[in-house]
Amino acid sequence: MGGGGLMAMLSRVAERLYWLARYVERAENTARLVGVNAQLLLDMPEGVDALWASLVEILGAHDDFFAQHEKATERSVLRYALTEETTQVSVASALRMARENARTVREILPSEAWELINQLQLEVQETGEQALARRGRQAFLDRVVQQCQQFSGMIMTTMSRREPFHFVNLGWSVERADMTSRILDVGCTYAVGGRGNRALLDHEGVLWMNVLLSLSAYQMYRQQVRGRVEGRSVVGFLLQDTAFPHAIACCLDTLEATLGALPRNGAPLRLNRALVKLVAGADPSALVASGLHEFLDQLQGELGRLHALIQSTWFRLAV
Amino acid sequence: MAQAALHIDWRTYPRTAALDELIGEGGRARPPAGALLKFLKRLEGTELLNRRKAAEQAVRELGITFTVYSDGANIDRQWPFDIIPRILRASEWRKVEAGLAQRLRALNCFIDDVYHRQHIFRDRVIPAEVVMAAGNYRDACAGVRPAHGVWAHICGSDLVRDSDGQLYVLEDNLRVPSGVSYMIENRRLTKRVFPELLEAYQVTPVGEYPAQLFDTLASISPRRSETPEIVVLTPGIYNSAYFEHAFLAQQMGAELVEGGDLEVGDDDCVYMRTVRGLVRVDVIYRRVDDAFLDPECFRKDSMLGVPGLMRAWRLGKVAIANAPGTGVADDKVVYAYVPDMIRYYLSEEPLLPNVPTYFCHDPTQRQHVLQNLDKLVVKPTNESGGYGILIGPTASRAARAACAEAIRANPRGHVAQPVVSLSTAPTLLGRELVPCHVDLRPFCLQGAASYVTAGGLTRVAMRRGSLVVNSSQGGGSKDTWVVAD
Repeated sequence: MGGGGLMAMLSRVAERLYWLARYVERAENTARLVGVNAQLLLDMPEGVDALWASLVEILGAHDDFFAQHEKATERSVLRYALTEETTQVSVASALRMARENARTVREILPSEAWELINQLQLEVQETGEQALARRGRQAFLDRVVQQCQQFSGMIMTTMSRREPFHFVNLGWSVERADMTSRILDVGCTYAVGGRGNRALLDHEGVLWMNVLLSLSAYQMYRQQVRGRVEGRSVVGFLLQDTAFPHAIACCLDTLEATLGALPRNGAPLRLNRALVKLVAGADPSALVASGLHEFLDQLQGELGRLHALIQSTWFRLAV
Repeated sequence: MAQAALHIDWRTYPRTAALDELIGEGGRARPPAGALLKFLKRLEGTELLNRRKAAEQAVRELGITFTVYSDGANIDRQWPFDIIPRILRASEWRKVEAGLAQRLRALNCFIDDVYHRQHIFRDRVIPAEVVMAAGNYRDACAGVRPAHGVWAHICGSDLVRDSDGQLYVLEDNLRVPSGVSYMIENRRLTKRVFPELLEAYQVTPVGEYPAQLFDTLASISPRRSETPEIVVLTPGIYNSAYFEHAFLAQQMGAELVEGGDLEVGDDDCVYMRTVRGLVRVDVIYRRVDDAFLDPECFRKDSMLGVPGLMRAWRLGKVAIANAPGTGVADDKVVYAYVPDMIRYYLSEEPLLPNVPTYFCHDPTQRQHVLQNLDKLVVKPTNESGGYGILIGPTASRAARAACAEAIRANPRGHVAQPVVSLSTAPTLLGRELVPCHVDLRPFCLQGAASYVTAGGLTRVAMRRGSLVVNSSQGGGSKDTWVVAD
């Protein structure tokens, strides 16, 4: 089917592949994020509630969460982020959406990839409750992350680099860039909040390390950056490194190449180039001192616009 | 683990009132089946059971499934396959082929006539009210001229063999007949399970069907092009035949589309939405019913259809197979008139017989039906998939009473036929070879030319003694061989 071949790929199929990739990426990121926060909790007993609240912020679910809960506690946030089927952000609902999308494009995917998503979704539905208690939590989260990675690996190694793959890759990259910007934004609240909060300020290094760990970035950061873990260099790495897959500049490079391989790509490609420029031109030191939140807000807005352009260019053709 | 063995002695193979496809008097093989029976005999013990296990494994691996709607959920089920093939003689099959092509030609003449000058009513061959009362006539189709005058491009007819040895046509499915993908997959399974046996026989291949279907569809394209854009329109993954829709699209190199993928432009042409922009569609092989084709024309609430599709079709901008309105000839009352149609339109004698049919709307015939419910099969005229059928001899007294009530309330809605005994074929149930009832669904194509599959899909009632072969009701299937005799 499709892609540089004789047949043009259906917009519906392209859209479902794109969302499939976004949801799998989201499930993986959320599972890792929860895991890292749960570990951190053991390091710093005070300020714990702030940590759970920040997780709600990262998930972009402030309004929805606090409409249902008075306070962000370990249990309520975990349930919200992992098992609740009704939220847009939980691992369970992301996998359910991933499965629904995969199911309708089964014949396009490597067949083991469909089977994997199918099994994982059932497994999470059955065993999700285990993750709410501390015992068994890490095993559950590890399993989700591993299976999502296995899915990505299958796609990477068995799908031809044609249109179907390109739409999967767009989904991955947009979701990844979006998640990195959210996690950075929380780092920013630490930095700002830290100025008035003794407890948090004392732990600034730990908190930035947590940001890196949440993105599986710590090891690569250490290999790339000398010196202590501090805001300026973490922000620089996660914004501007073009070699680390979760860094925003790297996501944008992938988007550049992927958009370039698709037909009728003028508008989204132009916006992406503007984004590359915006990110490359940022000054991490200055941003950490002031304006990081506003900058990330702008970046997220632009990523949203890119998503909308991808939709209007390839998925929702004007009649 | 030790497995209970299977013992094969064809002399003790159970006899029933029905004729058996492979085994004749005294357990002797019917002519082309000799080598097969000897081969099976050599596999007694555990080997035949192992081969069945291999087939089940292959069904899982190849992902051959059908969807059953049950308990409010759709379940993807493994395709039930019996490994023992059914054999047809080529000399017989040549006649059946000619008979099926003849039938479809006459049916297409009839549909074209009904939507134009209606000569067949004028000449009193078929009463107009019999056709018009069925509710399958579509005003929107009147006056339309599809390519080659062909409306039904794909027909799946159900054949049964009575105890007299004759194959009868039981019904013609002209709407969205399904099963052909399973015919092809069954052969694939046999190749895996009994490779040595296929080497011993000269079996006519069945795999060319998708190419024939492609040629038929290409021959009705409104644009003369080397590469017409052909799509398969499916209701989606919840349809019981979704596997087949995906299979045929893939085999033909056609796009599998849902209603939402298509739109009708200001130029009345049909387009599909692709990542490269709108691409014009020439031929739609639709697997959705008329009622759901176009919400502007038929059911307003249809989410499956394409607004404006009927307009595009009437203007000749797109071909639809089978054409809308084809269902006017897919009715159990109209069926009974097919032999008359053949004589009327083609001036030929029918090559394949019908099963005698009693009309419940005729007072005399109705009386006969009501008095003989325990000997007849009663069918609703407008249902498919084996739903609503009463098999008189085995039905309970209460079921017969309810059926009589239904006939009196809606005589036009029912026909009755004598019980055709339905031939049997040896089928592996548990650890026994049991005679199970079979029917046969060949597929016939008509476009610029005609084509009939070599054999077809043999459906088998895999419950002991059952006459119901539909896969939605516990039926299975067999590979079907046409073999030189």
